[in-house]
Amino acid sequence: MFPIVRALLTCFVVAPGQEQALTTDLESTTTEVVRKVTAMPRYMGLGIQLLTHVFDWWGLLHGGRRFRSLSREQQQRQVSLWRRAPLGLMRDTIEFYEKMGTFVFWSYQEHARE
Amino acid sequence: MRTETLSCDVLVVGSGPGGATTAALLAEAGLDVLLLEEGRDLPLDSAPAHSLEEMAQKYRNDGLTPALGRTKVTYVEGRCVGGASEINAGLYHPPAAETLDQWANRYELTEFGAQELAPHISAIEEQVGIGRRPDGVGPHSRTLVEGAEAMGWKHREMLRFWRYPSGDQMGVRRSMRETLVPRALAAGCRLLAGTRVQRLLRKGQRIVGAVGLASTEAGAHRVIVRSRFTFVCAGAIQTPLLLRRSGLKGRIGNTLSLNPMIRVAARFPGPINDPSLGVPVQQVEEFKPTMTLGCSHSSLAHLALWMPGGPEQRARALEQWQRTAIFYVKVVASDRGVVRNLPVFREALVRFPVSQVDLKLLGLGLSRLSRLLFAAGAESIFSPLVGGSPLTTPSDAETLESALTHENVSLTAIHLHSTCPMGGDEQKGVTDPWGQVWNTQALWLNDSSLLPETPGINPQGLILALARRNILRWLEEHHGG
Repeated sequence: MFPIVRALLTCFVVAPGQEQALTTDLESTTTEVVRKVTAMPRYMGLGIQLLTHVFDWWGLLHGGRRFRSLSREQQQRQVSLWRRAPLGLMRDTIEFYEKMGTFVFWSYQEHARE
Repeated sequence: MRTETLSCDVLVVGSGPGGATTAALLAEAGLDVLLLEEGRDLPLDSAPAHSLEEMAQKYRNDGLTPALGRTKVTYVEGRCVGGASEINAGLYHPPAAETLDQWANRYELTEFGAQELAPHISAIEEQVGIGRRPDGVGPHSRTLVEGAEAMGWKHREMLRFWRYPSGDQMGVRRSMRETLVPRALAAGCRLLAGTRVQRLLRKGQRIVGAVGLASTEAGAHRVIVRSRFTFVCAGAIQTPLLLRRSGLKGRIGNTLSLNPMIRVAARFPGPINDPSLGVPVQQVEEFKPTMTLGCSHSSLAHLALWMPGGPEQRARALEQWQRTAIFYVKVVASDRGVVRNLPVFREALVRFPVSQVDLKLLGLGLSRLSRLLFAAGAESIFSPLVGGSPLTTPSDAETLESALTHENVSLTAIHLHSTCPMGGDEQKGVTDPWGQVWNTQALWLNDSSLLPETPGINPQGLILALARRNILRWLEEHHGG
């Protein structure tokens, strides 16, 4: 899960070119988001985990590699594709990671400012 | 696994407002009370309010509890000693006399009207304690006031279950862990935190105790409790879940009521956001009880959720965070949901049908709120709809009235109740007018699940008053007053 979620969250919280500068923040955000998936009601958490792996393998069809190994541009394209997908579960997966990643990342930023 | 066997006069399951009231009053009457709470016993300052840490410590499932349906609705439940009173805004709203009298008639609730509840409401105001910030409201709340006055709408500063010792502008929350739980313990009540009740023990129709699982630092062990009387006060979701797990069915969990809420962030020309002032306390009263407009906690992390675009745009938008704050529309839903156990999984399956009527009402509320915010000087409003563009003029606000669909909104919900309502007979309620579950012996409920409908207001005051009314009557009947 961790490498997939890390790659997904990079798309949502790290501006291109900032990857190096925000490595530590991204690691902590990913750890917390993965922990939150395990804290969800299990029937939801298992569903999210399954969809996350499906999302990863989808990259193989879309860009010849699993999502975690695609270039940033290819990853953004796959995220956009799922964000507009006709199937609600696909859209919900993206929405979940975007919202959760954003909330956790900015919680840490806020904490650092204090 | 080790088994611990306990006995008591009265077993109370859940330590939120209903359970804490029940335990305190029964223990003070001299009964041997055992209070079981699934969550941990944590001080108020164990984590900053509304933070990630607080969610991990005190919310069920880290706050990630959804009600399923065509429109996603996320709700939260407190899971700690004190329950919801440890994590909510602590707003206090006395119940409307008209609502209480209507319920008394509609559901044949004896001795339930406004007049009968008045002494209990006064008592909880006195015993728990309510207060108002001594230096007035902050800029976030003032913005709502300015907008409401420009629109000619009634508004009000809410009291809170809060005390402000001299010189302390932040004040101290009067949660159950700070008020009624200590009273119960001082009167001899035993508290077992970290103990999840798995099911109630039955002998025919009589409830004779419960089986639970206690988690301590030393590990988990089974707890068997033998009780003469049992009160389940685990809240609107967990109470019906426990009853259904224990083999009680019927209408239990069939009538979940909640207040869906949608939030919106607005930017102003000058600073309005100061999280150090705590929860904003102004509400627009004009459309109550059907619709409430108010201000929300607006930390950087919460604001980030409403900023559009990718990481760069979001970071740029958040540079202006002091000029940006979150506001909400809360409505009374027109339909009812259900709470069920799932096979294999221990969590609740909650389904709630957000109707077209609810979406229209929320759209109307968003339009009203946006017009109010523009009247208060907002420069722009970030659309809360998926793919929505920012609003920059009052005429943009009007487009929101019919813009909400099941697919383009994500809602949150607060104030869940009515899953085991009181009623004058079995057709009207799951319990009798005093909380005893129909067709059972020695089993009472005493929490938000009893309310027959949503009161449309922050219900903590009403739940505390109702719980007190029920227990004082119970003591008259079972303990010689």
